[in-house]
Amino acid sequence: MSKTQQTGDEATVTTGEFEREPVAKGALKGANKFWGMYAGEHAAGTEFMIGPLFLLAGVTLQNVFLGLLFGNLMAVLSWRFICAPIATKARFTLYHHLEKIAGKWLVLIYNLANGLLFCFLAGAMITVSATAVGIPFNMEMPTVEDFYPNSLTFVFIVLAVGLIIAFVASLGYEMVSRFANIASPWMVLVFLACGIVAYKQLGATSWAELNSLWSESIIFAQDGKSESTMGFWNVFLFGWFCNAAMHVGMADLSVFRFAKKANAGWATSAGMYVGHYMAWIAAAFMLAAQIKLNQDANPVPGPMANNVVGLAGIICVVVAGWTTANPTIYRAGLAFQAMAQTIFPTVSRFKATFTAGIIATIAGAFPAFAWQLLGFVGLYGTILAPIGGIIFFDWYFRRNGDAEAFQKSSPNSSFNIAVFLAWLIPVVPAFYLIVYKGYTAVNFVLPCWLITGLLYLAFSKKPKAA
Amino acid sequence: MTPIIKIVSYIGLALTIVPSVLFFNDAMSLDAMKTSMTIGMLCWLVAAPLAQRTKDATK
Repeated sequence: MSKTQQTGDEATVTTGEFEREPVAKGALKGANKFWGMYAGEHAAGTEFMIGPLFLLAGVTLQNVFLGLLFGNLMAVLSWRFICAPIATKARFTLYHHLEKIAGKWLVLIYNLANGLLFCFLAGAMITVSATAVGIPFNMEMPTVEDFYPNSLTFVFIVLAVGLIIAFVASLGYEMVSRFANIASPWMVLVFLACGIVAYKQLGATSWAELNSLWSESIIFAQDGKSESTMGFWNVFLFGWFCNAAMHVGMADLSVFRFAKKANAGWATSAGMYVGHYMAWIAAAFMLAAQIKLNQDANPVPGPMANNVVGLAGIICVVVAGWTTANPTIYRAGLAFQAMAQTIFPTVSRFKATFTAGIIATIAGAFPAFAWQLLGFVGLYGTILAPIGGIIFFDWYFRRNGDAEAFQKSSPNSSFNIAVFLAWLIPVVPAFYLIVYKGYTAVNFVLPCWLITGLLYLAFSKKPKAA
Repeated sequence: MTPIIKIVSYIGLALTIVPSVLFFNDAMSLDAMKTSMTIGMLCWLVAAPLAQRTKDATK
């Protein structure tokens, strides 16, 4: 799911150079550099969680296949036609681009929200890794009913895994991102192998038979009921917006500013159809096979992977969790550091990143974050993506797409109240409805994005020139 | 040396995916498949970083 794993190329892209200036022509990269990056990036530890959660939510097999097919297509189109065109013209990171519109203090608030949400996401990845590491220790696996840690062993393993990840992230992620880059082709094949083996274990020989097995699995998982909490449109919207903060939310301006042409946006299809289609469906089949063979509907990634492909599956879960949690914590640390430095200028990246790692580790000890991943991802998009709406509407209706003038412009103020209000007015009620009233989070992403953009136009004035 | 490392890494990838296809076609047992995938994993995770290092060094 997550747009978190950074490869060597992206490492340079997001943190190394051109942080406060447009990317130089000589540093631009061809589209081919982005294909592998996105394919590897979306083969993350959380993919093992998301597929099975569709089954537990009672989604029909047809809705899984079709909803994700079209939802992922919309995600690719969003990257290609919303994010990449602005990125390849303005050529700034999201943070610098936003600073020019909203001012540095508002960027700090965005950073805080971003950093905290990254920590919870990393926490889910630590939980996923811990379920694999716990296998040789005969750890009692948490179940979907567990909100709190279910055993002391689980807590110790989460602490050990989390602290190692936090420490490595604090040292920098160059080595881990290189390892992630190397491991990703292998991980993609393990995902595929998991799907093939699980399908075989299901023993279906036709679509009707597969459909029937799937429905039986839902009934078993729901203790005799067969209730679907997600229809086609929910799955479609989830496929589209689970990375909303990255495409319509414009976080990937930081990536595509290095692309020669906006066509590089098509590279995201590798991530969507490998990670968010094949891997999710493979993981869902793994749970269905586990239900059929072991009458166990607990969607814990470590044991599920072990059942189908053995040790390679266990290591894949650990590696996928580690290589994605590590840069997530690193990014959260950078966000915290940027925020803290406005008050304490000497705060080091090590301390900020390690703090982020500790928060993520604590979150990881609560399995509920992993079980609620579908909802959490929607909430994450609802909170962060509307900032992309501001960037989009500002670019086309305030700047008329004039990159040169934008690059030379300076912020109207250090805290743009128009941006702040435009962001809060739709997001606060949406947050309330999602968290306190239980509405489906992904349904709010697009309305919030649009309303934020339109409110920004209504509240803001034309920016001043440099 | 480099060609050998490359070949080992490709064998690693092949041993990761081919056994599952053989299992699917009833040409391999589940245990044999798991063992083959473990060997494949070791081949890839050992050889691929070495191949990458050699590639970086020649750049």
